[in-house]
Amino acid sequence: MYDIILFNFIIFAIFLSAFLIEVGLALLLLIDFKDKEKIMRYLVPVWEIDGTFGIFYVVDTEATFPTALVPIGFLYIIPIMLAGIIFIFRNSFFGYSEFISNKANEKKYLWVYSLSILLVAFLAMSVLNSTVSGIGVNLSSYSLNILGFIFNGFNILLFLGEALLALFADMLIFKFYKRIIYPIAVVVLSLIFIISSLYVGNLKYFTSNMYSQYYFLALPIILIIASLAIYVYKEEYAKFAVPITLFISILSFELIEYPWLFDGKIKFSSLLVTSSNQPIVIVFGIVGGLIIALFLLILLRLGLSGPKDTQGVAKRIK
Amino acid sequence: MCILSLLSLYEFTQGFSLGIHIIFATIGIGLPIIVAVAEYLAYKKKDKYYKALAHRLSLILIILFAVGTASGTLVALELAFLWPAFMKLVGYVAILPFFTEVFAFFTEVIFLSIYVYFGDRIKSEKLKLASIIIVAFAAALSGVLITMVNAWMNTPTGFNTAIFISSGFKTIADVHPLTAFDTPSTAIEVFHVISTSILAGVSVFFSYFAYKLLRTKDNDEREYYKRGLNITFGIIAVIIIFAIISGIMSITMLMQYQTEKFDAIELDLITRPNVPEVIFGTYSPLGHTAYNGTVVNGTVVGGIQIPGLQSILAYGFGKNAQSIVIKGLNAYPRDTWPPLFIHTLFDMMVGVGFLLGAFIWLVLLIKLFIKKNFFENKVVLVLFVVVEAVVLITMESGWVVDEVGRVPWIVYDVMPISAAANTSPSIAYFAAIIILIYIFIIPATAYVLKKLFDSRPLKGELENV
Repeated sequence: MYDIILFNFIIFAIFLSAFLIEVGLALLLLIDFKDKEKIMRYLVPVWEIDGTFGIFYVVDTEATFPTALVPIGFLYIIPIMLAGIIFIFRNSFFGYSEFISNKANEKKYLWVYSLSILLVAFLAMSVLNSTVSGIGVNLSSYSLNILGFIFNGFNILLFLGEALLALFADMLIFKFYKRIIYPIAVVVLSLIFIISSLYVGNLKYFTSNMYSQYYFLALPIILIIASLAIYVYKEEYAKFAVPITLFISILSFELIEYPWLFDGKIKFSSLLVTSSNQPIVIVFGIVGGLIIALFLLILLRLGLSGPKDTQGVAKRIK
Repeated sequence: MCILSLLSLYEFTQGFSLGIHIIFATIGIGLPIIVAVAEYLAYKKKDKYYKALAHRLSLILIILFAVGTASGTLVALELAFLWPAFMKLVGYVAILPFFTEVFAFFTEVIFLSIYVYFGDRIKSEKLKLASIIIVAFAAALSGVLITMVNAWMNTPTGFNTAIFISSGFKTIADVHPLTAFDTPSTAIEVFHVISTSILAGVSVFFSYFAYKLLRTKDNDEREYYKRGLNITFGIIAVIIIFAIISGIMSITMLMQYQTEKFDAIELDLITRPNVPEVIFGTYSPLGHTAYNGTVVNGTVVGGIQIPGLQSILAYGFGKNAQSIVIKGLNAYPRDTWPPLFIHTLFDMMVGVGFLLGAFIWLVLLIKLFIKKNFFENKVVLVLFVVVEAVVLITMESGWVVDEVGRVPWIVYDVMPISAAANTSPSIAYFAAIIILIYIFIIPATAYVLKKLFDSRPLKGELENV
């Protein structure tokens, strides 16, 4: 495997882990608004970082697979632009809820924010899922069957699985449910959806890779069980164990997918940047990534170590 | 829809959205500097007005940052979808400045969050001050890195352009990606863009403080706005000198590396020595211009022509200056000439820039040596209110000159815009939606800011501080 592709996979796995944590918090806001104060305390340091990390992943992908831009530009313009537009709503309504809301309209603003982030997630995941399955995509004419690529069993089931995984992660990281049965039920459902999506989508190359590299499937399941055990016996470590589990699960999924995109139609390596550029992209990514990781640690330490009063941050500094 | 009209729509969409985005970007560069200076003065002088100023401006900063991030994401998507072949070339040759910019952006967002959200948890005042200084530095660095990509578009290096052109813009060979950081135009363009961005971003708040000072009679509020005015005026007085110097250097650089653009902004129709400086005036396709037996279609109509001045400005008063030949537009095929209206915009930008510089320094000298309370004068304050509009129009004119001056090339002299465009008609609808979003984005942001400050009266905040 090319180092530069592995690096891109790692960045994607970190981004998606952080993004799923935000999606999970948005879901919790919809399910359990009375816990808003607690949810907002975690959402505030996470939401702007997520948007920026998304841009990091996009730019790294552009640097790693520049040839892919032309087909992506033709194929996925509609869902990605739509997601971009809804992303503005996500930013705007989160800002409104923080800075100009009152008791009467705060809930409304946060609901629009939550629905926006879920829609962005659905559209973005549909695009990514379609690069795995190739369903609804005609690569010879660079055309996309919009309904086909979104409303197919593979995409719907995989998205539901991912959303439930996000919910599970947040339940454990932020200790939202004391009764262990809830996260267990959620993660079992999530795994059922994810695995059944592969069979419903009839992904030949992907499932064949999954059988030959069964350890990539076994590892996330073991880590999920370990995370639950840590949550029960060493609760304070769950906030570290669960993000690591998410990260490794996503990375495993990508490693199973490798070396094929669109379930056997295009090889990742055929889209790669020239070999002379590859070490430079990796060095820039690692150096920049380490600096950012250090800054993020400072932010998270400040964010998560704050006072337990859970007023909206903007209101607290008023 | 025919390809030509699609192309025009894409050009308009990209230009329009960039025109709006640049306003957020310049504020994003200028505002953290004001906050950092206010925070420093609050720390040094233990002054409640500076403290309140830093706090209130930081709230504006975070809202504009959120809007700017969303707008920037949309612009990035536009670039990828409207011009995929161009972005493919960028991906191979000039991606490193973009890549590095992400880290600068990350640094900005992290330290902005630390300063605004968790500033009250930082015990050391110095560390809090350091966090906003890092924000200001990272914001400027983002601007530097994005400008590097623009400079690369103006003076492309780092790959074999001959092979790229002869292969029909398909083969990208002999790539040296690090050269995108240092093209012939990079240093001067970065110098000019950053100085003008700080000027434009700061002037927004300068005019705002002047306007509020005109309106309010409350003593506490007047002290608050006076401090804001002093900080922004100080920054403007310094940075305007850099903006003018870098502007002059940019013209020299254009003459050397982008001669066709230079000819268009100077309306040099014909190759000749002893070139006159054309001030205003327009190009007319009617008639002919001739020099030493060379004839070119079209003439310059109106305006003032000062004989030999352009040669003097370019090469000085030396003996040989007037004999050096400056290449004119006739040296290039007619279909690669940029639209010549940029000449008018350029002259307006230069004229207004110099006038503004003179005005600011005149005010500074009067305030320093003649009348210390010169900012109390109502006429001066009204003039200050106008500064914002003047600077923004000048800055937008500068960008139009830079971008339209490169037409028909997206990468100067290498890749035409038509070769970079996405020809899928389905994008036209999204282009229209993007235009609609950008029409609403400024009034919507202004509404949010108004609501924000309506709910937090200055008087109350000053009492709390």
